[in-house]
Amino acid sequence: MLDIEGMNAFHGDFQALFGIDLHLEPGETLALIGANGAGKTSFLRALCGLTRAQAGRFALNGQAMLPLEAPARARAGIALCPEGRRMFSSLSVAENLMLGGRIGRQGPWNMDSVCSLFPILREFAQRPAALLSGGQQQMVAIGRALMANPALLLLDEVSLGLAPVVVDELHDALVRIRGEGMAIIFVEQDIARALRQADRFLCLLEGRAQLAGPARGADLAAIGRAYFGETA
Amino acid sequence: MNVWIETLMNGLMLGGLYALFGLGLSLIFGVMRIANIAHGELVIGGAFMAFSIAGAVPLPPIMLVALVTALMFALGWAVQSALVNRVLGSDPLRPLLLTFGLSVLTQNLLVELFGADSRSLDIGSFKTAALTLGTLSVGLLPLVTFGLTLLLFALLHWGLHHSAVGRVVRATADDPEIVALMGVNRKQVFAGVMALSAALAALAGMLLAMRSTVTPFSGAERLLIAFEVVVIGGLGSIWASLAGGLALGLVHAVSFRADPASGLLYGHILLLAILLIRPEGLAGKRRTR
Repeated sequence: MLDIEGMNAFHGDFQALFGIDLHLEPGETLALIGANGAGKTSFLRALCGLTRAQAGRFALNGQAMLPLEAPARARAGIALCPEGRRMFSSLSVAENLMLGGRIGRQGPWNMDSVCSLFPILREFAQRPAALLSGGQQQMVAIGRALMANPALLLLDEVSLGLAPVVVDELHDALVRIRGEGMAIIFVEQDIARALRQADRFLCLLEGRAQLAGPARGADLAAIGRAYFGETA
Repeated sequence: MNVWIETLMNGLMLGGLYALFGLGLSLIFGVMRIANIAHGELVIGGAFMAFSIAGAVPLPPIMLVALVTALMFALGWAVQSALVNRVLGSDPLRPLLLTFGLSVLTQNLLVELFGADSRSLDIGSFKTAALTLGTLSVGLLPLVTFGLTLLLFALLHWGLHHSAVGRVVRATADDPEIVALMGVNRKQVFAGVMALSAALAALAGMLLAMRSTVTPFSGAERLLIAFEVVVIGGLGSIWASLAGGLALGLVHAVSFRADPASGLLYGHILLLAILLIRPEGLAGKRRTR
């Protein structure tokens, strides 16, 4: 469903990614791991069109993504829940969610199902998003991405800066989201948790794919070496 | 006593027109974070477009105003798409210089086409008609201007807060990068906002040309007033522009009555006082980002 061969990405003159290959099937979940600056966020931004990229091949359901700008990629089915949540802070919770749904793709996610996933959003629907707690804002950000009914959902560090009990709640929600059959790529600092949640993992180091494989039975020692760039 | 009540009413109604000058500038700044130095030329350009159309085809004033407003809407859209969108980015100096250039260019173009004489828009007896309430007398034109201003503010408020397009505009102002992920092309949003700003400015310019005279050089003074309205009122909501406009109008009217030689001095003093005492403006919100 998602086919990427040899993707490079750039911030101005600085090259952030070098020759990344990735293939994902519908319903598959990939954990993207790596140290700070390894290129995880750059990869997600390159996928949804916020960061400039080149690739030998980059297609979603057979449709070439590279010629498309970010709005067209959103309509094609790529949604990002960005690092730092990036709420529309002057809009209410409900308005944030409605914006997520404005591209009008069909699927299981709508205002009702998102509010069933995160009941607090129904209660706070009319509140300005800026007044919510960090965890609640993260729920709005995930909900906003879900509202697009994407084929490929990108989640960047949804646990960052949140209390452990909130992180547990969010990851429980992820399990339910996975059941809906979209492909998911998520960035997570807690490697043990990432491997529990994912089907496969991809470990980046300085913009290059260092190690990849199935999450179940992954060799933590090998991941540790790939993470820190030690030669085996 | 009556003199002072009339002065206050005139001040409020002048303030309505000022608020309309400031509204477009505030919209542009709020959504795109740029200062449109050519805003005064949009105001005056609207008036001159009305002069030239009125000179060619005799239209009823309402038709003329509607036509020019629509044409300036299209012009604003075109200018934003063809020029201003190209220079938006992390450097705020580039749109500043571009709009400054457009301002100078427009001024000279207007002088070339129309000469430097002062003109006004002829609306016949409507200009001097007055409404008498007991012993008070209020000009009909300022009253209509004021009512129209309030109506436009209310419509704009409704549009921004209760329509899907308004939601997209507010989201774009909040985070112009992330709206792209919601399928929004921010350059189109910017074009729409500039178009609206130009239409409002042109409307204000025609109302100005009905009550007084304008020259091709009048834009700078309108820009100054628009800036003062935005600073005095504050940013963050369109009602702040109305508050700023009314405050400035009142100060101008009262100071003109009390000290006729003072010109715009007391308005500038109000601006300085606001900057010192309440830099977020009378009705502005402190930005929380």
